Amino acid sequence: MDHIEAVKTMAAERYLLRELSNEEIDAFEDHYFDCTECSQAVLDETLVLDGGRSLVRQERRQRRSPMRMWVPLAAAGLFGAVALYTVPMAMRVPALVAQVNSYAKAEANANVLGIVGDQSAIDLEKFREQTTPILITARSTRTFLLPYGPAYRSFSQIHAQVQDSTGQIRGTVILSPDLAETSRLTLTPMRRGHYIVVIEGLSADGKKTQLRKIPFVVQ
Amino acid sequence: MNFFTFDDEYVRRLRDGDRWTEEHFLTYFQRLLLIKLRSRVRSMAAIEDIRQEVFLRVFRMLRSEGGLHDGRKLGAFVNSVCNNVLMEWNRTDRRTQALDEAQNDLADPSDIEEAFASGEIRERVRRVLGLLAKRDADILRAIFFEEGDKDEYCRRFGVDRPYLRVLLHRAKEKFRTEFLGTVATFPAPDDTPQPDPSLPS
Repeated sequence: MDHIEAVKTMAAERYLLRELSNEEIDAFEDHYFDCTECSQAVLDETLVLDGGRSLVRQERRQRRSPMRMWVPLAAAGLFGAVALYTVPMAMRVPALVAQVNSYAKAEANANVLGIVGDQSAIDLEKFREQTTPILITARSTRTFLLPYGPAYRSFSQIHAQVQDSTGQIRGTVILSPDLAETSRLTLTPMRRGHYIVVIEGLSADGKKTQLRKIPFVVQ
Repeated sequence: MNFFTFDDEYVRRLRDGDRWTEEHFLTYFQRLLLIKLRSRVRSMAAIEDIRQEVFLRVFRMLRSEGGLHDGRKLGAFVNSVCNNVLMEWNRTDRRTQALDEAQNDLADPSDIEEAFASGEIRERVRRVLGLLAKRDADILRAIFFEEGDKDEYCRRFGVDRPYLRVLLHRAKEKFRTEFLGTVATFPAPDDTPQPDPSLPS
């Protein structure tokens, strides 16, 4: 499908109204991923539809609970913020699950980060300098590549430590340089916020050297 | 509106790790992938897993020997990577026994529906409804927002399916021109991650 055909057949509207066949969907997706005009149309119409549905749901909720209409917005926001922290911790606190393989040594507590051995061949030496925050969403198990550098091999151990924005350490994993080469860092659900992974090398004489800092944002 | 095109230079910057190009790339395709995936995948958690895997593979392939030959096809490239990841995920999903629910992110369908619906967007849509002719606003609300039966409401309002497409298009134009101005907003200002000054540099 080319752009002229997409516009002429109102493909964006038909796509969102679920009027396209499977073949047409594939063709249009192939097109709009490349075409910023069509992708903007899809995005804006999605905003209209989702915004409208959300608006209707909000109105229905307000109709069911008229008292809520009287709650000042600031108080409602405050209530929401408090509720976020008093919801049972089993649902909110990251239950970090250790996925330990035979090479990694992970601390057996709630703040464990998992290291998963990655069997695929990844050219990590060309991986970018981690100056850009990695965006990670909060509500699922996430993995991202643990950046590896040639300098890691001069150390006897590599420590990967996650700190939150207050500097509190949320978890530490110790691994061998070999494992650091092919591993991914696995994070299970975490609170939204800014974090940083600090990677340090430990020499045979016990001296620690900071190798890298990788900021990431949980949204 | 101003629209840009992907090109070899964009891909080069992406491959070289240019920060702003990466942020633009992630924000742009995050939304498109969400739109594509939510009609095929049940949970927001799974959508995010797939998205992350797509980005990992795209970056890996861009930095590999073959890479991408034509920068203009970056979007289609991302789409095809997504199709592959989705196919693998579907196979795995069918084979995998469901784990203890407490271990999983319990998918709430409204999470997917609410992904694009901030308070600001709702308010804009409310204003768009006020700008449309009453009949059009009523149709939009009944069919698109309240998800009433399309055929029944088409008969009731005396319109046909092509009219619904035109109406959606018109609502989008109002939404866009009234509130977004004439510049394509990629990324939207509230999507750009801001550095946390409390983090150590």
